[in-house]
Amino acid sequence: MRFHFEFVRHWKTWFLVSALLVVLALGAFFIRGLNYGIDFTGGTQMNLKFVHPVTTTAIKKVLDQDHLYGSTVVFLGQGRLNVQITTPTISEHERTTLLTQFGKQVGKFQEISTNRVSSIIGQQTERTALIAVVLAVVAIIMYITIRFEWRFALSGIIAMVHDVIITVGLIALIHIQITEYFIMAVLTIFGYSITDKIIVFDRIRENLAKKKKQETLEDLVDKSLNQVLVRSINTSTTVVIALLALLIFAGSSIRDFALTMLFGVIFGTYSSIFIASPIWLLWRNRDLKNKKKKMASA
Amino acid sequence: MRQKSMIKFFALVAVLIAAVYYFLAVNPITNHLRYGLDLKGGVTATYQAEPAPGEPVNKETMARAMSILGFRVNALGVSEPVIEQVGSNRITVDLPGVKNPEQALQFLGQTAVLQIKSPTGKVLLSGGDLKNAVAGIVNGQYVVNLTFNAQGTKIFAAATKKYLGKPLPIYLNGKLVEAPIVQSVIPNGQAQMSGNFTSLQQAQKIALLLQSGALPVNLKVLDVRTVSATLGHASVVASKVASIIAIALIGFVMIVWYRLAGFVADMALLIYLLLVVGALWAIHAVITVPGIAGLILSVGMAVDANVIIFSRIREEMINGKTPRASVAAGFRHAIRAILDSHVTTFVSSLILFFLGTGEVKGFALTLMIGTAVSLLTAVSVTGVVIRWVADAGWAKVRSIFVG
Repeated sequence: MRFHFEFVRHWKTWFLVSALLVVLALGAFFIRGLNYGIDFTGGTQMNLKFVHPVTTTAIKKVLDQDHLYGSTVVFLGQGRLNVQITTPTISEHERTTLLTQFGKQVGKFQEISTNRVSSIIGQQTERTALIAVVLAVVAIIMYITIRFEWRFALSGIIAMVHDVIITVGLIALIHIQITEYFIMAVLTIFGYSITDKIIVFDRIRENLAKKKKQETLEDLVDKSLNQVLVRSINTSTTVVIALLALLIFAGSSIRDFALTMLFGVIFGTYSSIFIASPIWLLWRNRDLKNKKKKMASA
Repeated sequence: MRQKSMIKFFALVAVLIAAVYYFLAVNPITNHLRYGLDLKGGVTATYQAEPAPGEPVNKETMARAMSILGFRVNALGVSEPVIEQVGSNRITVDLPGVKNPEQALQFLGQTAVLQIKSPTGKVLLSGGDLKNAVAGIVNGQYVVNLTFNAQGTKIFAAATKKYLGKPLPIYLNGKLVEAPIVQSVIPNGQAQMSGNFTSLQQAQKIALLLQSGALPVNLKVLDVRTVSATLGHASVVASKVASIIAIALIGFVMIVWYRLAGFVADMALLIYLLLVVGALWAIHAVITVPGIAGLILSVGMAVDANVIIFSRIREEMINGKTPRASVAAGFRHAIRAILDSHVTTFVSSLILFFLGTGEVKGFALTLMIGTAVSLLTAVSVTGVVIRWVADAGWAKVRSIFVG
């Protein structure tokens, strides 16, 4: 199979699509906001499995008695048996009373898991993750600049930021609860996205070395993109298979992680071809023109 | 040349089948791995050390706090507990299979400062002078028998002599427990504390706390995570199912796409998995849910390496090169892109590993190991075996790649 798609000719369309997506994502992020879990806000999260189906009202009633108004009650799975109750941070004593009251007023249950997190941890997780991201970006820029050129590095990073913004926006839109796993997912998207761009850039670099005089840069990039297309599709498909397996079969905490990754992989693959490469091309063409102008005027 | 390559190929297939059979059925490697509490059930707590009066938080006090925690954890009778320092002032404690986590944690973080004062309120002896503390029953009352060390014995003997007939109040955590009147001089460093213990267990707990010494710093609980064993077990099963299905599907898809080469890729992936799991076992890594996620993602990297190699070889063949020349050229071209992509992922996971906490660390570690092993198997297994296949000159080798 040999393809020949003209990818870069329609760069304006791709940029427009991406710009729209980014605006929508930022809108979702700022208007709807992220649904921070207790990893960030601090609090107590109890996962109870009742013997008989229960109602939110019954649980809320008990919570209200204890003046835990900021609490949320979520049913996990089917049958209104498995309940996740998130309250502001409460002491061990308060938790024990609460559980006794649940047993008396709501029904018999089994305690599946409990997380109690002080908000300091979440804030610090967020901060260290941010530091890690900045450092990783710097390291990646340096590496690509050494192995390729800085235009590749910056185009790649711009496209990667685009992937992360869109993914986070989507997560804000569907309001998945943000846990420590989310940070992990975003960081993995980072790695995946940049890996994908390196493979594409590697091909452009290679073709650049063999470039014939009459070949335009557009044609060269198009040729390169067509050459890596099969690999891009095949690799993304296998990663998507793995993520789908996680999404369908693994536990609930990993499910959110897999979904976030899934968005990231799809946009990461898309932006390598439709965003990163055109940015590099336009940039390089502009620099070449400026150089020519300079030479002409000199 | 041709026969030799074929023999090597089939020998590797045979060895691989034997290895997979051994590590899957005979002596399942998964039985030898250490699993995190999210997979096993239990409690994980993070304490933050805060300076106690006169005791700043530094390396020395942290080390002391850790060893005291270790002593107390052992007293709880938990199997395979893990106590780890995180950063400069945090300690995480993993207690697998603990039934009553909050109680256990409260016990761990408790301070027990023993003070014996003079009638005028001067501190004569403190917990540091103790050699031993044992609970016992005397006249139907629960007591803690205290034994002082050499220095404590001396001070105690002198004090009982000096304050004969007067009270020597005993304080625990600043609270007056009792003020026994000294009846006689006690030269052997033995004392008894008979507080108002309601049960032998309570006395034993106090004895134990006194034995392990006072925590040099205050430990504040930042974070507690409890997972019931049933949930843990369900996670293990779900993760196993997800991994097996993902790997089987990927293996199948590779064969559909790349035929014999896909089979070679599957061999490389199997060796890759054995090596990664082996590495995790060798470094005693704790397998957690995020770790499994990292593992599956690094499988993606390993698959990608194979896909890149085969796409390149296929291209060379389309351009009309012989199988052997195509394999050589395709591999040479592919390895540069693979190297660059693996190095960047490795560097990012390295940064994550050093900056991340708990779960992120586990994820980064598996990704790091996975990336390194992926690069290794891409070069050593896929690269070499695909050359054997080309050398063996199987008639259809061209169509295998060109499709």
